[in-house]
Order: sequence, then C-alpha cells, then structure tokens
Amino acid sequence: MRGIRVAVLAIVGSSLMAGCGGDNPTTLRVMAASSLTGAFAEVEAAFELAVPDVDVVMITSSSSSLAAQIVDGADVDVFASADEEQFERAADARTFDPPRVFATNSLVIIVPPGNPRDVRTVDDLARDDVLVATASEDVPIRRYTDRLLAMAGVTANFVTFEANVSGIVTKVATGAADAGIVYVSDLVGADVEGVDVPSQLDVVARYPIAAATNSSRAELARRFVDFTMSADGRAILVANGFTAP
Amino acid sequence: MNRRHPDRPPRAARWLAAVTVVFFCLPFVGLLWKTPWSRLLDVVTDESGRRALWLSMRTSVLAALLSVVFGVPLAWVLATSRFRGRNLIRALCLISMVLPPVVGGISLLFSLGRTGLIGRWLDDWFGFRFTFSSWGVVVAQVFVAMPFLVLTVEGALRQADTRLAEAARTLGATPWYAFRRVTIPSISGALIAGTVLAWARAFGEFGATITFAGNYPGTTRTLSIETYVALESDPGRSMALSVLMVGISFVVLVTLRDRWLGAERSS
Repeated sequence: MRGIRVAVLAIVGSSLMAGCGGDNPTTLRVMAASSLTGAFAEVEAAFELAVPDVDVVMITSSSSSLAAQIVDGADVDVFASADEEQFERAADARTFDPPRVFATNSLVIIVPPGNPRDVRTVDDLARDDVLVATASEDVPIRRYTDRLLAMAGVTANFVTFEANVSGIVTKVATGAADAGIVYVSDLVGADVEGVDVPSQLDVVARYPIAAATNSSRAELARRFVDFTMSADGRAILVANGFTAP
Repeated sequence: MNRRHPDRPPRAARWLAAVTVVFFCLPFVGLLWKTPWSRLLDVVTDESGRRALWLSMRTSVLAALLSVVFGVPLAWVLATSRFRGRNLIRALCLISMVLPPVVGGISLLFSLGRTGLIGRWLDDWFGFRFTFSSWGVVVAQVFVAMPFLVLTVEGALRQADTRLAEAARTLGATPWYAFRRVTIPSISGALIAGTVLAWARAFGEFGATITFAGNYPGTTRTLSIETYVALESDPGRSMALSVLMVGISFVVLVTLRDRWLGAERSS
C-alpha cells in the first residue's frame, strides 16, 4: 500500500512540475507539412546536433491545418508548407521573412503491395472497381491531384477525403483503398508501391519555408531555415525522396 | 421540497463545485461568443450540412438501438452470472470507452476492414465492405458507444431487487418473460439513461469513424467530421456546426433527468 501511495505521489508531483516547466533550453517551434514528417525528423536531429541548447519541437499536419492554426494565433517560429497558397494564408496573419523554396516534390500514384487491382495509368483511377483515396479540398495534395486529373481529363473514383497525406497513405497501405495520388517522397518507408505518372502530366509541388519575425527566437529560426537550405539539409531531403532546387 | 438535504455539502465543497461548473460552461460561452449566428441557419440548410446532419442522425440512432439489442443481454450476463474470466471479459468489452478512438478505428480496420481478418472474406464472398460505407460509421459508433449502455445497465441490474423476478419465475414465467416484464421495468431509468448516453457518444463520434470508415459526403462524413473539415477552410462554418452539435446534445441530455440516473431520492 505504502509503495503504491509513494508511486502515485511521484506521478502526480512530476506531472504538476511538467505542467509548469520552463523553456530551458530554448524551444524552437517548427510547423511542417505532413509530407515532410520523415525528412524533417532527420533535419531536426541534425540541427540539434549542430546547434547546442536548442530543442526543436516539430508540429506536422496538413499545410492547410497548420495555416489555420497560425491564423488562429498558434505560436510558430518556422513554417514549412507544401504549397505557396497555404503559406500566403499564414503570412497574411503573422509576419514571416520572405519565403524560400527549399524542396520540390512530384506526384506518384500509390497502390497496395502487389497492386491487387492492376492500376497502371491515371485512367485506371476512374474505374469502378478501383477505390481511390484523396484529401479534403484545402489540403495541398488534393489541389495538385485535381490539377493532374484535370490535365488528364480523368474523373477519379474517390471514396474518401482524408485529413492529410498520411491518411491517404494509410488507407492505401492497409488495402482499404486501391489507389491514391501522393508525393514521390511519401514512397520512402511506406508499405505501398508507386506507379509513375507520365511526365507531361506531373505537377511539381513547391515547398516554401520561412522564419517568423517579431519573436525573440527569430535569429534561431533563421538559422534553422538556413540549415534546411544548406548542403546538409539538401542531402537529407534528397535521401527522403524530395528534389532540392 | 425546500427542506435542506441532510447531507448538504459544506461551503468549501460548494465553492469547488461552482468552480467546476464554470470550468464546464466557459468553453461553450467562448464558442457562443465567437460564433457567427447568422450562419447557423446556413449549416442546416445548405446541402453539405444537411447531408452530414441527416447521416449523423440516422447512424447514431441505429448505433444506439444496436447497443440496446446487444448490450442489454451482455449486461444481464455480466450482472448475474459467475464464471471464470468474467472480469476479463468485462474489461475487454468496455475498453473502447477509455481507448483513444483512433486506436479503436485502427483495430476495426485490421479486423473488419477490407483486408482485415474478417473483412477480407466479407469482401470476397459477398462484395460487402464496411470501409467507406455508412455501415462502417455505425460499427465504429457502436464500438465506442455501447460500453456506456452496458456499464449503466449492469450497475442497475446489480442493485435491482431480484425477489420480484424470482417470484415471477415461481409463478411460471419464462426467464425472458420475467426479464422483460419484471426486471426491465424496474431498471427502465437506467436503461433509458444508458441508451441516451450511448446515442450521445455515437452522435459525437469522430476518431474511430474517420480512421475506419473514411470521410465522404453523404456516406461517411458525419456532422463531427464535417465540423473538423470546416475548421481548416471556413472556421465560421465550423463554429456554427459546433453550436448545432452542442445544442442537439444538450437538449437530449437535459431530457435525461436525474430520476433516470437511478439515484435514490431522499425527499
């Protein structure tokens, strides 16, 4: 009994202290598009090694969701968006340095392992027996997808509108959906197969990044942006399936 | 009625209770204060809002009914039978209540989903799929909502006076008849409360639904998913939808008056 009581006290005590904990070392809040999750985890680790006493906190979600959070006053030091439109939306609400395009990404059709429905072309996405997953209207991948489909003149058999790119990958990887269109970088480490999109149809996604100004951490935020643009940063991005401009 | 309750809490307790009330009310005051009221009518009349509301109503009522049909027998067994592993069974059946709904959704995906343990056979043999269909929404809702009914009904059955049901049995009633005509009426308050709680939980379900059933207008985009989707593109609409959900749930819970909560009133 006594042991349990001590344990409970310890847990309660530490949770109280965690609730009131100070920011030491400096915390840098980086918001990054969902498609950057893997790449930016590595950028974060490398940056923390290079710059001592910095704790980078990575917040990943769809760029539209992140932009909405910034508009709503969320604390942010760096914003890396998957399209320029969502970046502009955030920049209307809070001042950022001029954005720099640090990565580009192209599109690919993904199918579950083994390609059970034999999806080979963009036209196949219109087939009745091919269930296609995509994202909600404002998520960048959906805009790029719509642009690609419009160019191809294809009406895809969408069955679900996920909240972000990861949602599309999950639905396809688990075989709930038969196909989806995501970024080439999403193929890295995912349990899916890629079906190439003809280059004349490919839409290139451009990723802008910028540091928020008017913050005591603005200098540090700029260092993070510079690091992402550096040779080290590019190497990480390329290893994760992005193209560095 | 005005006589003071014999167990009236001391002043400090009443102060703490007041703080709690403020804690629960404040978020709604904030919501109501920020909501563009003129848009409340839009969200129940525009096509996308109407579709989501209608879908949520249909699925949550069905989920509540299924919870009664399957949950009451389970509660009956749990309350009256003694067998080894009963506590384990109970824990397994109630765990979805405390689980993050997303975890429930993932588990459903790997069991009843299209390539899941059972789901693959359903698809192969009958061409039937829970994923991306309204049935998937109902299953996700039942999964997270039924425990509320089971817990409420089991508690009432444990406290119910068993002598009446025994008397009915000695007079020749079958177990079903005695349960229906004697036991159920004696716990009707708890049964209604449990059903309403299960319905409310199903109505508000989000995480398991979007993970398991997906998000498509008219078939799987429920009111809570509609609210979430709107938050990114049109916060005003999202707030109006939130007010609608709060309003509906509030009206339903107000009808769940305290006498249904099965408490002995000492007046």
